[in-house]
Amino acid sequence: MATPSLAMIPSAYADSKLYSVLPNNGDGDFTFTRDSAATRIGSNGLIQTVGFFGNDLIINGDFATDSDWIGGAAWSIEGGQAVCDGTQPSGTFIRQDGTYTNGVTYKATFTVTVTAGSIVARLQTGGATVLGSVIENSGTYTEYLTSTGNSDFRFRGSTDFIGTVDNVSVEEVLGDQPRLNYDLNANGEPSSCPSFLMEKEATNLTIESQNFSADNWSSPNITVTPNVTTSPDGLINADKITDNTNDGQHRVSESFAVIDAKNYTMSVFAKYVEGSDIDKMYILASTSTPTTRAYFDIKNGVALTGGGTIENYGNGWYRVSMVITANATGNVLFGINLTNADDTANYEGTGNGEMFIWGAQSEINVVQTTVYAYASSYVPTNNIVLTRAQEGCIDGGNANTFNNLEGVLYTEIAANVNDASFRAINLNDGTDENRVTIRYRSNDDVINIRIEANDVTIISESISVTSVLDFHKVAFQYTSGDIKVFIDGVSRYTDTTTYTGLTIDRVNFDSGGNTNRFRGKCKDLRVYNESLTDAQLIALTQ
Amino acid sequence: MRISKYEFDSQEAAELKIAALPHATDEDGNSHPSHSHTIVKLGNIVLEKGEYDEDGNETKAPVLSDKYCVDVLWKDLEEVDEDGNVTIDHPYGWKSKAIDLDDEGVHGFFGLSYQDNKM
Repeated sequence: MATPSLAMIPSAYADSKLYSVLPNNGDGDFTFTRDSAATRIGSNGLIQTVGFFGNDLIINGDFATDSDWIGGAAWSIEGGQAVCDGTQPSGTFIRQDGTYTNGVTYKATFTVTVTAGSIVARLQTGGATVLGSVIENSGTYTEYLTSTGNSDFRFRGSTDFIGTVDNVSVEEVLGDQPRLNYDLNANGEPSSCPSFLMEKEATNLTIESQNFSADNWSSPNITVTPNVTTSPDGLINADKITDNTNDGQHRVSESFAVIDAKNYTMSVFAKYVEGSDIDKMYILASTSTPTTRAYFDIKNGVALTGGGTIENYGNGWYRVSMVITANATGNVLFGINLTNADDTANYEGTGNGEMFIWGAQSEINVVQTTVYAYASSYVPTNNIVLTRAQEGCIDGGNANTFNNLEGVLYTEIAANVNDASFRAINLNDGTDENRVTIRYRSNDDVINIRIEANDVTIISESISVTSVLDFHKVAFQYTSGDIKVFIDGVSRYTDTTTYTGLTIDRVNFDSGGNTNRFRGKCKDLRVYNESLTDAQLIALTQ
Repeated sequence: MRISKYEFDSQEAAELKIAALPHATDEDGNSHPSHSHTIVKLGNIVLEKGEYDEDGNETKAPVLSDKYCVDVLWKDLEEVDEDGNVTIDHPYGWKSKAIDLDDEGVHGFFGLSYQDNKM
């Protein structure tokens, strides 16, 4: 088998970068953008946050106790803050030791009061001192500090500084990090190799996604016990809901705003409680939509009446979802109901009907004018509606990487959903006038291949597959006069059309020109600069 | 990147401004954004929550804002003049609709602070 000129197997990334295996000089690396955090499924099968900031590295940042900080002359911790009384003979510090990696940028936020003098946040010791700005006025500040390999974060007050420091937080800036997602199988087990996941932007309209005892949730005939078991993110932050002995609905519910005629997906994670009298639940939607219910057997992981979807997240957790269409602009009630039988809204409780729940999400599903059903990756919220920003991944390779005259574009991909949109992987020249494309398009369950040279369409062919939601290995040989497409080890298209004028200098996860961004999962992407034999194309795609 | 919050008099007014941002048309004739901004149409946000009975029926309608709200995570708005000075401003026609909050508001972008990143 020939050696590819570019190969990207999802394995390594950094801020704004998705690394390619070949070429190994950096020319093949992709530029990745998503200006927000997002979640993925990690190699341990748990939901993890990726970008934009890391964990808080400061302990006791609210100075609740007189510990963890080392103060110089005139500093003390009292009344829930660090206090400098102005008796210092010279500049004076209060510091906390830590590990700050050379070249990594950290975001420091803190509140200071300044009665006299000035104060500076800094990374120090172990490398050159990194200074924040000189602060002479009281307020809450954010500083971005790039470490030189420092081993402490500190505040240094001037000789005449009198004031306080409080609410200190220092987080690593992770930035625009791509998601290497370990897909779960039907048993909820993570795959051994990740795929590169790209999604459209999405907003979780549920205000409190994992705190069901918050004021935004009402709980008729239900008691909520917060933070009682390990959730799908590995933390003990899942709630338990317990019924009472009344005859009626037993639920927690929140409402979210909807727009007339739009589709929404409502989802939540649920887990059966061993010994509970209840093993079923349903999602309820009412108001501004026809009353809709989707029932699920959480003990056995089965979707029941109502056409809902259930996904196994392992450790007894299932993500259940339901799609509704709003029939007015207004609010929809989002109910998470217990029930003792399929297709039964009300029941008489026992006081021992319980279920664990976590991670509620309600999101609009719109691409252009088309609506579709898809529970996208989880966006945790805490008293505010939150959006995961859109993603882009472009500019792998350069003019020296590719062959304008012959070659093969190969990828192994799956779509997130049939959403009637174009979603492309594309050799191109930065425009849509020269391109070799493998893409999903507006028809369901079709892979479309296309060559455009000098703004002339050479071929555009749609090839049916069983389901675009499944992974398919697609090899597209774009050689003039010897065009071939192999999918999953089978020759699916040949064409002897000849053409000239193709100019390609990069591979993008879009159509070139920033349109038709890829939305799906990619396990492998390669470009060969030479034609391959049928036997090689079969071997590549089997 | 920069985050801004806007209030329009109507959905139509908001849609006009959004449509005026760069778009491209595919071979099916559908228009797609060709910019990298993330635009969130919050619509007429809830000022007072609705109330519901035990069966999920609405007993009191929510009170909605009469303004149509849009949050935007702007990307690559920086402009550099011939002297190397960098300026960042709202796209044409958006500035007059911008609002400035002293908290995070009802909507945010996952992992980002509006206060730290607002224009």
